[in-house]
Formats: sequence, structure tokens, C-alpha cells
Amino acid sequence: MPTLSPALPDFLAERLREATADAADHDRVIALMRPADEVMRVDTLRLFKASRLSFADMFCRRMATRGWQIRRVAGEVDDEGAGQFVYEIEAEGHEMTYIARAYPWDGVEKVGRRSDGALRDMFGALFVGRPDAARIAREFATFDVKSEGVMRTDADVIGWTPANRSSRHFDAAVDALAAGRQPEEDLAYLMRNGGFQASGRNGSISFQGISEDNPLSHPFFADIFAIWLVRVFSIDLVNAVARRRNPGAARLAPDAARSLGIGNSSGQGMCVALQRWPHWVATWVLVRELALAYAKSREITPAGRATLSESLARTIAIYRSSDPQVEDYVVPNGQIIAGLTRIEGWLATAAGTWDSLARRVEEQLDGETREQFHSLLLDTVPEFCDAVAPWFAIGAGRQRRFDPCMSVAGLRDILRRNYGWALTTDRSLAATHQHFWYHSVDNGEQRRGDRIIDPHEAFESFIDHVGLIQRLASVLTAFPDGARAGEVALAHPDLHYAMSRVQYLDGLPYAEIRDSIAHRDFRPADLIRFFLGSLGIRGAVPLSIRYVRGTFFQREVLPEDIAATAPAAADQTEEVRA
Amino acid sequence: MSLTVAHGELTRVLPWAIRALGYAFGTADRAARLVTDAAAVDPALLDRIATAAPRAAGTPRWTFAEGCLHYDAAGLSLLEAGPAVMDFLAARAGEAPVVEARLTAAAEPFLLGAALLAGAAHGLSVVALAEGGWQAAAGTRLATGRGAAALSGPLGEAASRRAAAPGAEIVILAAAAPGALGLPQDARDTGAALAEAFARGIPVSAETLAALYALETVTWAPTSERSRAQAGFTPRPVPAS
Repeated sequence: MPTLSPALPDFLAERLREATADAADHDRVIALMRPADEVMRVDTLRLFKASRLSFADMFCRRMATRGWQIRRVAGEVDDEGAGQFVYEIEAEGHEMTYIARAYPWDGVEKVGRRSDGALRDMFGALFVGRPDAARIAREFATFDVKSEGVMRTDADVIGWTPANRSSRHFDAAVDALAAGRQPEEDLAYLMRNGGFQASGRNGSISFQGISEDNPLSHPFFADIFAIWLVRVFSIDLVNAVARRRNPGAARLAPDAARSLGIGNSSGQGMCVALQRWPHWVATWVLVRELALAYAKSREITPAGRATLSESLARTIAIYRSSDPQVEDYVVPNGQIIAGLTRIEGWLATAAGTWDSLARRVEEQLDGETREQFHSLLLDTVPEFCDAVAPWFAIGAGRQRRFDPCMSVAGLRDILRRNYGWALTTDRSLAATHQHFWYHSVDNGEQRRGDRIIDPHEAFESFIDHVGLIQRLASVLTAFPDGARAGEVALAHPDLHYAMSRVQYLDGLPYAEIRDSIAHRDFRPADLIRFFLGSLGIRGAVPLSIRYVRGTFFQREVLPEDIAATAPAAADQTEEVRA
Repeated sequence: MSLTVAHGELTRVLPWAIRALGYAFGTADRAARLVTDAAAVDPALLDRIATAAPRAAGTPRWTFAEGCLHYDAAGLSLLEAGPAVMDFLAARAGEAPVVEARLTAAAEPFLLGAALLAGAAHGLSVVALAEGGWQAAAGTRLATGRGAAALSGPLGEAASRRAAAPGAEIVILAAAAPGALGLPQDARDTGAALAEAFARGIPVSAETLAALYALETVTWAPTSERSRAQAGFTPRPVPAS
């Protein structure tokens, strides 16, 4: 009987039992789950693509199927394109309010990095409930301060949404609309995400403070919703600016509007977040790998073929409209399109389980295409994906706790079981831990320096888990097996973090990224792509080894699409996608 | 004072602020959470942290015999020593109905409450006797007082039998057994205080908040052309498709 070590958490084990016909069926799924030594390598994670289990996809599906209502109740602009917008939201019995301030267009392209501080083309705030006019006016006044570190909000705000115009895209859209026609080119987006500032930042409500029955009390749903609202605002703004220029201007057509997303550039701070919250990574990977194994174990059916064929066509279209890859460590879009097209060709004659087709893909195509295929394969098992999706919230709620009563022998056992890859890493060469991450005085922006050469190594952000594990193992050699972890903590208080980390991750099938992030040859863009895929960005393009550009929400629903969809039962899982 | 700081904001800023004082990453990471949780109960704690001293250079010494840890903190702050002592007591609490620690030369005693929360998180009931009174924690309740007679249960009785801790010494009694300590009615509910902090933030003065952020920026490296290049945000022209 195949076993997964460690075993699935109870919740997922139960969902799998419910979804499988018998023990043999169950065991087939388990046998298809890939080992952590294969999956948790940077060389695998970097290939992961967005899927129906990405946060943006899950959120948009929920918003659409549960009939959220988003109404703009104010929003006009002056001759300079400045204005104040207000949206009222009703979401599963919860009222929220989104306000957005557009600033006069200064003609300066702002790429959206953290070091830009509060210098943005727009600022928005997502409120819990319905703030009164005075409260809204106060928030708008706060935006106008435009000084990072001075601007404060209150706990009635979930977060702020700074964003910037894409001058070329925005102006092209305004010019076309003001001339009474639709934009001719595929603009991709009108504004770029400037980084959602929430979870307590600037005095906003802490994530744990959002009431548990609020749909935004889910990992990344507040972030995703806020960025989606920026998208809605960007479309309303471009219409308003064009209308101001010419009262007879055309409105952006629904299809054109739906093709617009939100631009996003992500930097290497994402690598720090992944190292800081390893149980997030473990959760994301576990849900995906389980759903993938389940999908692979199912028989190919005509309906499944049709679903996958549709998904392939949609994805090929996205690759065709995405910017070309410019880094040589990324498979060119054309090659992926060719690979997906070959899979489409194989589909008609594919027989048996999806695993047989997956094996063919693995044997004949590159890794990027393989993982893209894996993501699409999840579309063939939507019910199972929905059944296991609650683990995203459950798994993310795992708390890092320290068990001081655990024996040193127990700690050593965890290290032997889970960290052989780290303990056997040869650190004798400086190249193995050459880099460190640090915050810069430029608004705290995360940067990556070289040890010895660059200053402030003493204040490096935590990324070196290999070094941490090796130090813990080394210190433990000074203690007898029968000593307790609490005794180690008394002698080495700083190792509380290391001990609590290995303890709380023990028992998770896909815990820890099994490569050194500090290594000279590690490319931050690899893990940024993994993070962005998990969030739901498609067509991500690294523009260096340190940052990655992409677009959120292209071809996703708009408020009018949701309004046109009758509110559904809470358990309805039909996907609404343009 | 209408300004508030979010719980999530403090757990993001304090690790860096505490590192700026000279504490190692692992120590600061833990202390930040403890201080934040303790500040949810006693917001004035933030004022003290904002003006806390840099980490002392002393090397603590300790012995453990007959159920009592004798710990000479050598000037170390309770920010570091307090949670570590709690870990030790929790590790030993199964060996006797009551285990004890006697701390000397521990700096910043205002952090005693935060340290006790670390003990409570381990499932311990803990009473700390110090000059001027006691502090105690059990479950999600935290109390302070002067006469230990207000405490009940085996641990409370053990505490009330003890003489007040002399001088700079802090005596901590801990028990693992459920119900070992009864706290007075006016004990603070740390769970409720935390829920309030999550939902509405923690009151703070503008000066203290500014001081905490100023500490954080000590850990930020100066900028330079080389540093800016290390952000990697150097867009290159995208070739036409």
C-alpha cells in the first residue's frame, strides 16, 4: 500500500476518502503524489503556474457565484484627471466601502516600487462597513498628505491600494475613447498595483481582527479583492477622463474592459515572505499536489477532454497576448504554446487515466509546459478542488509554537527525518551563503547584498534556513538526548525560532523549500514566479533575475458580469469566466 | 489619546526595533510577539519598549537544583531572559508540583508580565514575586497585586507562604497542573484584550509610535548607487513580439 510521509492532514484525508471509490482508488491517488524532494526544489517550484486553485481564481469564482454587488456611487474627474470615487459593496451579508482618489496626472511614469513611497497616481481604501461622509473625507485628506510614515488610518480600514497609471496604456485608451472609438491594441492594463498595504500597516485592521464570517477573512482574499477594485476603478477612471475631455466620448466596451487587468511588478522581498511563512508554502503546495494527483488518477472522459481542450485554448491565448520572455532561464512563450498545442493534438487519442497523458507530457515536453499542463489538469476535477480548497485557510492558520518539553533526541529525530537535505549541504564555500537580504533606507525596500562587501549584514532579513538548521544541529550536539528543548532555549534564547520552526513544520508533507536562498546562484525571480503563480498571475515575465512583471485579472469578471449572475447557493461552484 | 497601532503592525515593526537594540533575530522575533500581546493588556508597555536600553553584554549563569533554577541574568533584559526562563520551567514543570526560578540582575522588570505570558502559553500557571508585589498568569488571565493572599489554589498558597522577593531578585513559581492557580476577579482576560487589539488596535502616543519606527529604521542600510541596483528594478526594453 503506498504511503505518503508524513500522512495527509485529517481534513484532506477525509476529503480524499469521500472522493475516492475504494481503498485501491485512494491508494492510487496517494501513489501519484510527488515526493517533497522533487517538488520542494526551487527548480520545480519556479515552474508552477496559476490554476483554479490560485487565490485570484478562487476569489473571483466566489465573488461571482455568491452574487457580490459592487456599485459606484460617486466618481467624476476634473480637467486634470483628478477625482474622488466611492463604491459600495455587498458581499455575502457584509457591507464594505471602497474609496479611491485619482491625482492630477503629472506625466511621470511610476513603476510602483516600494522606494517610491507615497508618490502614487492613486490611493484607495477598503473599509469594513459604511463610513459616513466625514470619515471618508478624513481618509481622502490622509491620502493627500502623500508622505510615507506620516499617513495613518484606523481599524475600520482593511487596507490601502496605492497604484500608478501606465501612461502609455492609459493615454492610449483615453485618446481612443475621447475620439469616439475603442482602443485598437491589446492594452493589458491601465494601472499598476503599488502594493496593498493592509494587515495592520498604517494602523489598518489586523488580519485576525476581520470577523471570521467575513469572506475576506481568508488568506489573500483581501489583497486580491483590493487589487481587483483598483482594476474596476482604473476602467471607471479612464471612462471618466475621456468623458471629461469629450462629453460624447465612447465608453470602454465590455469585452475590451474585461481584457484589462492590473499590472504588477514584484521584487525579491517575496522570497523573504516565503521563508518567513513556510507553512503558507506547505499549504499551497499540498493542496495543489493532492488535487493534481487526484486529477491524474481519474479516467479520461469526453467531458474531461472538452474541459481540458477549452482550458488549453484559453491558456494559449493568454501566452499569445503576454509579453515575450526576455530572460534565458525562462522557456519562451512560443515553446510553451507549441507544447500546449501538441498536448491538444494528443488529447483526441489519449486513453486511460490522465496520468498516462501526464507521463507523455513529462517525457516529451519541457518543465514549464509540464507544470502549465498540470495546472490545467485541475480544471477537470473542479469539485475535488473545491472540496480541498478550505485547507488554504486551515493550513495558513497553523501557529508556530515551541514545545519546551520535547527531548533533544526528539529534536534530533525531526532534523534527521525532515532536514537531511539541509544538514548535508556543504557550506564550506562562501558561494553557498553569499547573499543576504536587507532593508534599505529607501522606504525599507528589500534588496540583496553580498556578505563582506555590503554593509548591514547584521540586520539581514531571515532567509538562510539552511544555516539556521545547521546551527541548531550543531548546538544540539552539546546536549544529551534526554535534555529538553526548554533547556536549550535557556542557554540559547535565539534558537527558540529554529526549534519552534522545525517543530511546527513537522508533519507537513511539503514543508520547507529545499534549496539555499542565500546561495550565489539562487535567482530570486524563480521564487517570485512561484509566489505570483500561487496568487493567480498568468504570463509572468521576469525582467531580470530579481523581479517579475505580470498582470492580474485579465479576462476575469467585472461588476456588471456579477450583477448579471443570479446570486447562487453558497455551495455553488460554477466557474464564471468571460 | 486617539491614535492606535495595529497588532499586526507591531508584530511587523517590533522585531526590527528590537533587533536595533542588539538582539539576535530569533530572540527579537519571539520578544516582539510577546511584547505585542502584553501591550494589548497594558498599552503603556510600548512607551517603555520605545525607550528600552540596548542589549547588555553580560553572560548569564545558572544552576538548577532541587526544583529551583538560580539564574543570574548578568544585566540581561527580561526581554531575552524572561521567556527563556519560562521555557526552562515548562520543560521541568512535570518533575514537581511546583518549580521555581530565582532571577537576579535581570534588567527591565517592566517586562515581567510579557514573560509570564510566555509561561501561560506553555500551559503553565505562574506567579512572579518581585519587590513591590506580584504578577500572575494562568490560561488567558493575567493579574497583578501586592498581597499574594489574593491568589488561591496550590500555587497561590505556595506564593503566599513566600516572603517578598528581596532586592532585585525575582522569584517565579510555576505549576503545570490544571487549576493550580486561582486569580482574583479583577484579573485581565488576555484573550479578550487580544481580540480587541486585533479588531481595533492598541492605543499609543504619536511619540512612542514614532520612536518605535525610528528604531526600526536603524536596521535599514544606507542607500547608494550600488544598493539601488541591488533592488534589481532595472527594466530593460522588451523586444517587439
